Amino acid sequence: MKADQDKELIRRVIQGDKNAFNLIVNKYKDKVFKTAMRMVRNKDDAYDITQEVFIRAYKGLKNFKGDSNLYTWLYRITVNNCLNFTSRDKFKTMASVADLTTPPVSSLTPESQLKESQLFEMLDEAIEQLPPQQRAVFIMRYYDEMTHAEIAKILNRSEGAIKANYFQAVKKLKTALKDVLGFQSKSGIVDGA
Amino acid sequence: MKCEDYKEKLLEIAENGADISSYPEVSKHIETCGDCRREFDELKALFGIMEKDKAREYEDTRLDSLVVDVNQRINNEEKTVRFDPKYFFSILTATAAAILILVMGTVNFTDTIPINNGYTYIYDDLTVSQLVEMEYVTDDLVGELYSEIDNESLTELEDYYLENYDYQNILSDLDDDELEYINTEITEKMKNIS
Repeated sequence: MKADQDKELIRRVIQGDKNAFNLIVNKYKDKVFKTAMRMVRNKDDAYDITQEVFIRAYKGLKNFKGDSNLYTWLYRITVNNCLNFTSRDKFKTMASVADLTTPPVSSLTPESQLKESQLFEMLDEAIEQLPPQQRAVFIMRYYDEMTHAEIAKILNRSEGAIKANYFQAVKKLKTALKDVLGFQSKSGIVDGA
Repeated sequence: MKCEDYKEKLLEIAENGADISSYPEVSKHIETCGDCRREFDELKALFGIMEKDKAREYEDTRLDSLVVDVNQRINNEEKTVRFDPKYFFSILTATAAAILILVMGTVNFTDTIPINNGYTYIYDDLTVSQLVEMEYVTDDLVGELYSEIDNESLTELEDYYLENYDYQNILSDLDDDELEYINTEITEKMKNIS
């Protein structure tokens, strides 16, 4: 049903119906923004990328063959845009705590909330330090729960390379947060998996 | 299994938040291997943080006006394309090249400037054959050029005409209707060629 609705919207956009395009933007903007935010960890950059994604989509919809669903196609554009963005070294500033809305429901005390915010900051920084490809693979695999095969298809690489990228990304994150992780295990702020 | 093999399995278990006791062999290994135990503890702690990070929601009030911003940028880009200097220059170049050929057709080259038979490009990326397709140069005229003008490169020919008829002067000689006609024709032909 959803796919049919999207096909209908695409058909209308191709016929020049800008309102249909606006419906597509409103439907998928939050998802695109979230993916971009996770990837670049900065609100301004994520917003710019989100705009760019929909502009490219608008230009490319005429050539959209419908082999995949619309969101998969937008996701692919988003990832590629983020990769191009990070490789252009346009990364501006780290996401500040103010960039993030209220953390997930938590029973932490104010003191430990501060620690959690600091943890997120450190995590943002550690993710930012990952090479673009590793970062993309890690985000796609962990946050978006995609399989190695799906990621390989989107990034046009082998599954083996994706697995290696993911493994390396985790290893680097673990190293970057080593001191914190040791502290976390003892303090009990993080309950563990 | 070696520790490296276990570490891969430990990553999978920690990532999925699985209970290690469900993996007796791995569980038994980390009881006796300090390195792998430490590795597993760190992975569990890492994915503990990651799990919280995964649940973070991102909001930006600008998203409310994203549609407006995107449409504005699309409109701006469309305007920019219409006035793209590169595109404009290519039209101007094609116009000038066509005019050059027209002028060439009215001159007796035999007595003045020969042309090299092997010369292919007339101006930028326009070839004689493309100009023929554009119908500004007929097959007969090209044949005439090739047969009557020898041994000198067309560059010299161009230089000669550039000295005597610069583009601005050529264009200024045309009235508005002629200019519009040539522009329209060449734009259409260029589209077909590209």
